Amino acid sequence: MAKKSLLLAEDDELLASLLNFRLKKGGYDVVHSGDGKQVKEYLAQRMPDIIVSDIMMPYFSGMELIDYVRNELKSTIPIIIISSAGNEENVINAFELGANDFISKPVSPSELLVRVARELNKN
Amino acid sequence: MLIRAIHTIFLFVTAPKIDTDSLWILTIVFISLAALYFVSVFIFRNNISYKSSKTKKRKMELSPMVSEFLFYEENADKEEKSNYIDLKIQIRELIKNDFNRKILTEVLLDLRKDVSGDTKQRLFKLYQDLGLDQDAYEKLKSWKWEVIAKGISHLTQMQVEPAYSFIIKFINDRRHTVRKQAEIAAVTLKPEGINYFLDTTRYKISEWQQLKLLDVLRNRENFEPPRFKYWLTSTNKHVVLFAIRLIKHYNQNDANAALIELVKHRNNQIKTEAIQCIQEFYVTDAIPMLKQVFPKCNVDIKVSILGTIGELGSDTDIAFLEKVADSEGNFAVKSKAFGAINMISPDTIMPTEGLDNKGIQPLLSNLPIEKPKELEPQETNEQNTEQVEDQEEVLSQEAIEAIKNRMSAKKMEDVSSEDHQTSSLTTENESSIGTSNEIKSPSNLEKEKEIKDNEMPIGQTESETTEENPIVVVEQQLEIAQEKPEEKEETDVSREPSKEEVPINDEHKEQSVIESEKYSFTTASLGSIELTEDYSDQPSSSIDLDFNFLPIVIQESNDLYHQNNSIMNDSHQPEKDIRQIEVAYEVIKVEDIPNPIENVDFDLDISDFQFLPIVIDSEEESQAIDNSEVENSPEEIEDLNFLPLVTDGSFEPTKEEQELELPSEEAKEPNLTTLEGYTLSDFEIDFEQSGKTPIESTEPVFELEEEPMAKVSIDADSSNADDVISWLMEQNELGQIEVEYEEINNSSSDDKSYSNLIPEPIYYDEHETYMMGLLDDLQELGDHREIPLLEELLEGETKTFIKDRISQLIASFSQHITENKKTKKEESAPLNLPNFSVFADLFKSIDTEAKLILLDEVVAVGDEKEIEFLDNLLEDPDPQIRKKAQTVLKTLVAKVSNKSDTKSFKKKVDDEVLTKELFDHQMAKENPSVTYTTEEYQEVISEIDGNEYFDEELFTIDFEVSEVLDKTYPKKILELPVEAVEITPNGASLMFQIYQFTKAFHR
Repeated sequence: MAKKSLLLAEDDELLASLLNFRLKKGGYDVVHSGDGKQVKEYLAQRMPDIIVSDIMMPYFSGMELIDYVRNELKSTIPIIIISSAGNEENVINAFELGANDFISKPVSPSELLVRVARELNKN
Repeated sequence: MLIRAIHTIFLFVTAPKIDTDSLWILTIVFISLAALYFVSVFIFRNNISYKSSKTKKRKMELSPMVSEFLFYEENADKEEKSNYIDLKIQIRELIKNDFNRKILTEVLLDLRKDVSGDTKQRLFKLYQDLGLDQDAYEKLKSWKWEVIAKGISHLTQMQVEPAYSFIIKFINDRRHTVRKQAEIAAVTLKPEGINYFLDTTRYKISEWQQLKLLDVLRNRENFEPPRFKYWLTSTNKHVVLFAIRLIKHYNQNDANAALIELVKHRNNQIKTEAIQCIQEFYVTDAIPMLKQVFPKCNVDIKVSILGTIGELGSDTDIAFLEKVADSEGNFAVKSKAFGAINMISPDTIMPTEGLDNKGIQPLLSNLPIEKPKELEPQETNEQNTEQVEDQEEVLSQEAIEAIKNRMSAKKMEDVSSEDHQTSSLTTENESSIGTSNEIKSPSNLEKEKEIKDNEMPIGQTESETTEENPIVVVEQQLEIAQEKPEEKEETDVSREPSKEEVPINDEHKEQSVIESEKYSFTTASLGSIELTEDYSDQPSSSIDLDFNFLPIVIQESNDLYHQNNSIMNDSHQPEKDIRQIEVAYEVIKVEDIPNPIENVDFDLDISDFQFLPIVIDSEEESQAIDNSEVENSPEEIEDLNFLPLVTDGSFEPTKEEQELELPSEEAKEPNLTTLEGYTLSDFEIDFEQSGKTPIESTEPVFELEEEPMAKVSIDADSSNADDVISWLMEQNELGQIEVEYEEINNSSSDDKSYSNLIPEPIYYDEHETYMMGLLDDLQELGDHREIPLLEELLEGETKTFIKDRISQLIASFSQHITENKKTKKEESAPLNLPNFSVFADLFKSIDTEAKLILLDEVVAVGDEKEIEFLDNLLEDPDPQIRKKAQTVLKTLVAKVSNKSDTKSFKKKVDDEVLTKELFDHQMAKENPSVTYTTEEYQEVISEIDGNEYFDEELFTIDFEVSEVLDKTYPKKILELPVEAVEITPNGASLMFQIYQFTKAFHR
């Protein structure tokens, strides 16, 4: 069975590395991008099965990414947002834009794995 | 002098001579300095960027390693495990470098912020596993405060609990950064850290620090806060303050008494916090204390106290608040006092400032009121300035109040002549006439008086006012009142209006006065009272109202205030609490009250007590009940049928009851003859008491039974047993027995069978009697020794039945002999009793010398039974005995062992033969084709069991000896082989498999 592809958009290298490791160990084919530009370029070429994105990213924020995916690419792939705790407004905006789920920092990698699996199962 | 000075000045003013050659030098110097600067900047910058990139690079190198460690699982596959081990070795090498250690620490600290849950816990563990906490411990030893603070911070962030004891030493460090870091660490690392911190800290706890500490406590999982009231007694006021805040935060409302005391604290912050806490916990007991401390407090605390009283207070506190409102000069305090009054009793104080009363103007124009002359210009220049407008509002409001009061007075005049009730009602009507809000608005007594005074110079005649407006009546009264000099004086006092004056509702004014119970009146109120008193003297009007629905309200005769004002004076205020109205009760003298006990006629019906059982104490009473109540009220008795009838035994049923219970005529006869209520046992007692032989008649019972049952007499005088039996049978088992008798009567053949059951009598002659008596005695007293006698008797006897008897006896005695033999055999068999040494008893009563001699005898005479005895002697207090016993024991053990050698040898030979047979049998059964030699067999046996198996000493020793040897040679005992045959799954014995194995090995 082919691995599900996952795009991880996170500018924090350490956290991204950690999540990358965990998600790979969880059986996903993870592609990591450190900024919005790279994400956009990647999405233009290939659409992953799921996107896990931080809201605050250089060049291209998580909000813009959702908007880009939903409105420009017209894709319905699940998007999970990682946001800082207490950033309620951003979370609400993200949901309004079409995010499927969110997880707040500090992130529990195990929890993220479960959420990813759940979103993929939904689809 | 002056010239010289001027010259000197010129010297300075004049440009100095510069050597142009030196300019080049200077230029070169500056350029070189600049170059040096830029170079150094470049170098530093490069260095920094290099370090940064190096750090980043190293972080990226270490990050996957950290991830690998964090997400490693015990049940990982081999490849992962080997990777993990490699990483461990690798990282151990890496962290030998300080830089790498530092980077790794940074990585872990950074990740700590971003991860949660199990990963975070693993991160903490990894930090300690890698020994990175040692760096932090080292930092604690530094003399630099920033290094110490950093070390504490690292240990705190990575939750290194063992560091707690090292860190708490810094709680009272004089360097505040270190101190604060230590405080947070103490609270973070252990739950009891907060206790230690509050106990020991001697320094100030800043507000920010308190917030941080509180944040730490709040985010602590499973934290059970201690009772912070214990720190309310701390000598450190900051601790007290923090404790109060924590008490408030955790809602620990068990410290109310301490909080009340803290209201007296000199520190205003503590005082304020305590008051807030009191307010939050609703500590009403604190109100007296709050009132006490109020005068000494500053404005902020006063406001806080008033707010608290407003929250917690009751009507009794309004007087205090009014007093505060009157006496306090500070606007904030005064306002808060009014606010508190309104909190306790809503709408007592109404707003006066900034009201727009323009809508009232048309009403004013209709009234024949002349405004004060000094105010007229202001009114004409209205809307010029804001100030003028405000003044106008105040005036118009005063005018409204004047209208209201005049109307009120007019109504009062109309009605007061009738009675107080009607006057009150008029006031109520008045409220319906005017706009409700306006009427409810400030109209206290002072205002009334003030307005009345203002009204006075209007100068209208009575007739004019009477005709034009009903308010003229009020004016008349005001004039009357003004004529009194005392009143005028009072009026003058109250006429000075105060800008800050806030009106208080009459209702509340009254209420507070009533509550004070002193009826102390203000000058204004007194004037008002007198005025109203005047109104009450006026003739009654023709208003005819029915007030029957109203309660009769009276007041004390000396209560002027109530006489004149309070009677329904507040009826225009529907929110007035009716419970506060005094109600007159009709006074009834005690003499007038009839004695309730004497004259009460208990018209009771017995049917009302259906739930009670009827208890009859005596016959008379029962008869009385029967005659008086029961007979008179048969219906009631019928109603009581469900009740149990309790009697004391002497009660006899009434005729009616007898009739009910004994419908037959026989039953009506005196019941001595009847068995009603008797049992068999009762009958037997009577039978014994009769004093007659139970069965006098020699006739058998069955002869009686032959007679038909119908003929059996039931005569009471008959004490005959037959009669009794038949009587009993008839009475108790009448129907059933009759049926049986009928059957018996019908079957005459069965009678014989009954007669057969009775044994026939046997009659002996003299010899027979003697012999039978003798045999009886022999049977009873004799034993097997009587057999010869019995045999003799048997030979000489002719009677068959005697012979039989003798034979039986011989047989029985013979049986006894065999049984006795068996018993003897059993008794003679060796009993499995515990071993007992005869020497033990002897040893108790002899001296040491005799003991030594006796021990020698033990060797000669004794056997294994003495081993235990000797073993006990090894612990004898006498060393001589111990030594001798040891020697004797060794000898005895050797002796016992030699004895068993012969037995064991025999057994050994037998066993060998048996083993050989078994082996042959097994071999033949499993593999008949295989042959083996005796040497091979011996090899197998020796390999299986070893030589120890044949160690006769171990094998033959019995339990007692082994017990001793266990102590002497424990190893041997422990190595005792266990005999077992193991069957392999393929069916071949272990022995055979070993044989096969050894054979194969040899090949």
